[in-house]
Amino acid sequence: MKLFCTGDLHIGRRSSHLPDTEQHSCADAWLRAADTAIYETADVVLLSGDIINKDNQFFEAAGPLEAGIQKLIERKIHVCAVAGNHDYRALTQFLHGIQGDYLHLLGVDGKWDSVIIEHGGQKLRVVGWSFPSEHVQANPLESFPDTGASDIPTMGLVHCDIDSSGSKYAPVPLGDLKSQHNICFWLTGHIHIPNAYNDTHPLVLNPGSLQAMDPGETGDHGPWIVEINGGVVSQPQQLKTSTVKYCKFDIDVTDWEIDDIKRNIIDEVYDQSQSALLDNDAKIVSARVNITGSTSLQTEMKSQLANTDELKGDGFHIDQINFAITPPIDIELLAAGKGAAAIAARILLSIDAGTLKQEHAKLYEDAKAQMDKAYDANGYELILQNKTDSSEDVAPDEDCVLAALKSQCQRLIGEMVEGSQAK
Amino acid sequence: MNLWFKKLIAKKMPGFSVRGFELTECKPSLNIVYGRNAAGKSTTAKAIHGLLWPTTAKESDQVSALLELDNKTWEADIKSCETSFKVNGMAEDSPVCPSSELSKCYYLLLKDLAVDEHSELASEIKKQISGGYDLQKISKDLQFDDKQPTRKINPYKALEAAINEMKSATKELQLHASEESRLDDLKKDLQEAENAARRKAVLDAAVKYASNRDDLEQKKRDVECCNPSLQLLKGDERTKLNALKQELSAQQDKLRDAESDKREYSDQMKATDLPEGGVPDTILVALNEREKTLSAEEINLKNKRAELANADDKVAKSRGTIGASVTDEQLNDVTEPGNWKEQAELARKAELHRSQCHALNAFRGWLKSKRTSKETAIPDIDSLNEGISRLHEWLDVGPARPSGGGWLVIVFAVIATILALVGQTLVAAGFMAASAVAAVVALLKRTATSKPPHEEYVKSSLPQPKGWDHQSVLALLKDLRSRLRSAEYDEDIDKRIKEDDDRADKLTEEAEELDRQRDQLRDRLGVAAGMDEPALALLADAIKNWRDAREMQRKAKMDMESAEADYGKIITQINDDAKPYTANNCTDLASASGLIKDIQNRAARYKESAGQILQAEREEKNANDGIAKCESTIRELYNSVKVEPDDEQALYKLIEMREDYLGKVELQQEAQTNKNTSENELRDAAADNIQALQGFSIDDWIATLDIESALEHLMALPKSQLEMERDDHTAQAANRDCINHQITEINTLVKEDKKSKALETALAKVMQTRAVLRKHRDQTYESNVGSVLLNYVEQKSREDDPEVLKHARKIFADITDDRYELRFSRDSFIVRDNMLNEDRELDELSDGTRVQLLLSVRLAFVEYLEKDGGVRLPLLFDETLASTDDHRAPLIAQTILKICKTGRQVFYFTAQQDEVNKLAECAQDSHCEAHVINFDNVVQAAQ
Repeated sequence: MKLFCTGDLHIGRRSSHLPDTEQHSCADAWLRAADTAIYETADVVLLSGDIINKDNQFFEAAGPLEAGIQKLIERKIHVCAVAGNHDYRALTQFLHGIQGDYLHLLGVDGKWDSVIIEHGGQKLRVVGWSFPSEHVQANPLESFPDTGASDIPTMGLVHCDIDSSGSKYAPVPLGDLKSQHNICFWLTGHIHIPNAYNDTHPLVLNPGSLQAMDPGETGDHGPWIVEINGGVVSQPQQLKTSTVKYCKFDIDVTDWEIDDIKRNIIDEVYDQSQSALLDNDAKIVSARVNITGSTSLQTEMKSQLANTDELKGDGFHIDQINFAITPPIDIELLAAGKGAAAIAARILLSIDAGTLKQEHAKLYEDAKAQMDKAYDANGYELILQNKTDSSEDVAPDEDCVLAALKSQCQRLIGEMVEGSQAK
Repeated sequence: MNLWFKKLIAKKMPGFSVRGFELTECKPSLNIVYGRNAAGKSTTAKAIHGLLWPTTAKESDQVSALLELDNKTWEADIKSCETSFKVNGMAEDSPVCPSSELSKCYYLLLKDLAVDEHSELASEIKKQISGGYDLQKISKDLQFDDKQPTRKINPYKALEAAINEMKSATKELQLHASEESRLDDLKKDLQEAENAARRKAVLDAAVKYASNRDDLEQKKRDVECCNPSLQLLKGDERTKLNALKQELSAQQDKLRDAESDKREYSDQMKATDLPEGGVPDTILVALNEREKTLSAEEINLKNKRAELANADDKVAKSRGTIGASVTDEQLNDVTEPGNWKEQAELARKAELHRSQCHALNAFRGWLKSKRTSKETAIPDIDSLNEGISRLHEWLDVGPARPSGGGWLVIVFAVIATILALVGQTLVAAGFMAASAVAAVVALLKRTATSKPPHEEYVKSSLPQPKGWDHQSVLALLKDLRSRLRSAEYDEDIDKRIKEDDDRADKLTEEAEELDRQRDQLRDRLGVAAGMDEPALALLADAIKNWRDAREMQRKAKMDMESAEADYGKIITQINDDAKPYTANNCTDLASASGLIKDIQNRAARYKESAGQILQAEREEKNANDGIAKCESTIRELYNSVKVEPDDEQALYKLIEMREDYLGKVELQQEAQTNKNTSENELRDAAADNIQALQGFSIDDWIATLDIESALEHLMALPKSQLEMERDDHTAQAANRDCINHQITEINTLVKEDKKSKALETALAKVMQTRAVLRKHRDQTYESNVGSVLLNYVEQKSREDDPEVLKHARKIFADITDDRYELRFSRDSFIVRDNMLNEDRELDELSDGTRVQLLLSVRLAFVEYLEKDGGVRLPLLFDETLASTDDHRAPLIAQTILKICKTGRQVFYFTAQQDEVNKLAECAQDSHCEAHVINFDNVVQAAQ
């Protein structure tokens, strides 16, 4: 039996950090996935939760969802789904209106239940669990029913946070999943980065988000094909259907001339993007570029590259440029000297050595306080008011402060050195 | 320890890539490097710096130097930004120098000291004591700032707007979702309203039924009130009666018309004046035939007459042709004029004969006229020829030469040719003959004995030459030839004439024959002599024609008479046939046609009249029958409705009453039909809305009844009651459309939402603007942290400030000979004027003192850098005295010299001779060594 596995569709949302997001709608991704499932002659489509984004739990999301499911049902393809933390309410409501024997919403209200699917003389039991509310701090596998030995292959479908104890989103240790010997295959959801834990039986597949949605979701995204024959599960094959791919590129600018900086960056990003887009349906790469290397031209480079919108190219978009440039000087030698530059050099060395808080406690405290102040500034209150779970929305921690100090220290030293060399 | 340059060899520097230069005699104190602009002085300064701080050098720089440090001579080389040091040939570590970014502290430019009165001297001092870093500028360049953004920043506003938009979209979707949740209730309400509408439909039908039912009862009563006799009437009596009366009148009219026609046609018949029975058809046919025949005969007669006239005309013409000379009697006597052909031939022959005779005579006459000689006798040609030949011989031979005569042949031939060309063929022929003869003669002469030719000639009868000389003989010859020609010509003519004589004889014989034939014809024709043959031929032909015409005339006359007889016969027949029917007679075709036509017309009229009379009698009979029938039917009509016959008034009265009665009956029927219809409608309405009936409120027990019983009960209810019930349900049903509309609207909204991407778009916008705001926040983090860092660094660097400032105070005092004392606390500076015992703010100091102060601070920092085991490195001044006034310049010069006195090597680079002079002068005054290096010479030496 051929299974089409996906989850975290987040219909109602789009991929972000792109110049034009209209083409990268999660709703459209779902409709394409439905067509793909038909094309691949799948027997069952499995949806592991967060099908609808919580911010769009309205008919706007229901429309595409229903349309996709109708297409599958009309072709007698079974659809098994469970609700996640986003759509624990909406999914039940919207799927309720779709009639038919081919649609199965499992585990409503947090109660495990199952369905036996028959197709082409084969049978498969799908056991599923849905989120009863937005937050679930208990491990849903603690209430997993005893399926017992059976001739019918059984698979599990659950939206959960694997190996993330303390999580509010149904934390489940991987070991718990692996220990269910009567289950030949687990399809999970919630974590947007795909991962297939297939070192031991049973296969635990976290398909990741169907459509990559933000720069944190790097790598290939798309549905997975798994075949089960008489309880034997094939290797999962991923179809890379996401229209966008998020990548991080490092570019070393040592020895680069300032006049060519834009062209070189574009060429470099283009080359790396092309490699990333091989064997991929993605139309565009959203790149976060980390500029490294040693050069005294940091200020000029930063000025030239300040507006990422100017760095345009075919098949990619530069979302952000991070400068991790070191000035071309012997920091240790500089640190041994006297003067402002030497002081800055010594600070830099202490950051690298991890002794800043001891050697320059006031600096650290002041920097942390200032960053906290910025974090709480009126101008950014809207970010706090609409906080997400993204790391970008949390208050700056020690690593954040140290990273900021390091980058500014490098800039300061570079500016001092450039200024002295300009003389 | 002081490090000083003894020798500097710049092998490869910018501007000196081919040949370098050398500064070979540097001194440990002040070295004034003097040279024109762009000579390479700054390059020299860079070379010195590059050696000490290789990272400041260019990759291509190659410099060597001999340094003196700690009483040792060091060899320093820089290549590819790496400096190597050797002492006595052994590699050494580089002397301890401050870090390369502080190398600028050892290089003073004019602008470093050009602090005008408006500048922040304090800031400059701070800058100097921190190593020459303008931290404020750096902070500005790096955009370090401790400011926090407000809600007015654009990214905030953009996110706020995006959030509002998202909220708006969400609100709308929520509203639609909320509306959608009402759908179930609305559908129930709709169902109720529809049930009420259905019940109303049944009640409508019931009300209608009750109305019709009541109406029917009323109509029945109206009918029952009427006279029962009216039932006997069928309703068409009036129409029938009227029709019958009309029919009767028509028949009577027909009868009158028929009688009238009969009389009229009888009169017509009489007017034809024909016997009883009219004219039989056979007679008419016969008359017709005779008329045709007569017509043909008339045509024939006409033709015959025309022929006769034609023949008469021909006779007259032919008679005219003959002429009056021949009398009629003579003509009559002519029995056989003969064949025109033969006669024409005779005439032709005669004419031809005459022509031939005339021609012959004319020719003979012409020939005779052509004779050259009018005499009949022709000269002897042979003699002439003989004579000519003799003369030729004589000419050939001469007196003793036998005459040849050959040339004669040629002459004759030439003459003959000429004559032939001009057309005198006969004559030409003659000359040819003469030529031939001459030839023969010549030939004969050749063979003849040679007698002298003139002797022979003399014997002839021919004319003799005047003398027997050439000329005379030629003349004679010419004459003889002419005679010969003439003779021969005349001979030809005579010959021709003789030939024509035969011809003439023949013609004479022919003439005689012709005369004979002519006479015969004349005799036959009986004409007098004197007419020639053509005339006779013509006459004969004319007579013949006359005779033919006469014959034709005779025939034509006979035919005409015959035709007239036939004609007359037919006329007679016609008259005979027509006699019984007419009193007239016809004499010719026209009158016969008129007669026959008249008879035919009268006969036709007679026939027609007879037919019309018959027809009229038939119509008369029909009309009588019709009248009888109408009267009978009218009587029956009256009987059928039991009215006295002919009592028309009574009948009409009854008919009038009937209409009213029928109207009432019709209304009753209509009411019955309506009742039936409305009953069916009620049944149908009940059947269609049977489910709705189950909720009926009329008499609770209706709901328990079966449909038939319920209907029966409904149909029995009074109308008013039914109307009341209906009104109640109408109000309830009126909501249906409204509810339907709401449901449709909600479904439409839901459908649109399912296709919409408004919220998705708004969410994406929120994410995008939030990312921009986050980026702004990250930049704020950097800016804030940078600001904190810079302040910290500045603060930290200030920790050394007191030491540096203290040292600067000392140097300042030294430089100013203890005139001034620098005092400082935290960020403020004042200068104590020891001489005037006054404290001065920095901006109260003179320019020169300001420069001294800055120099002191710079030097203090430099020495601070060199404090811990560092080597005292040379200072480089680049045109520092330029553009300074006379007061400041010496102060700077003195300061420089005092620095030198401390043992530090100083290089002063200038392109100004006056600077050199100033420095040299000060150096002399200060008892300090100042070495001037002419850089132009250095460069020249290198070349």
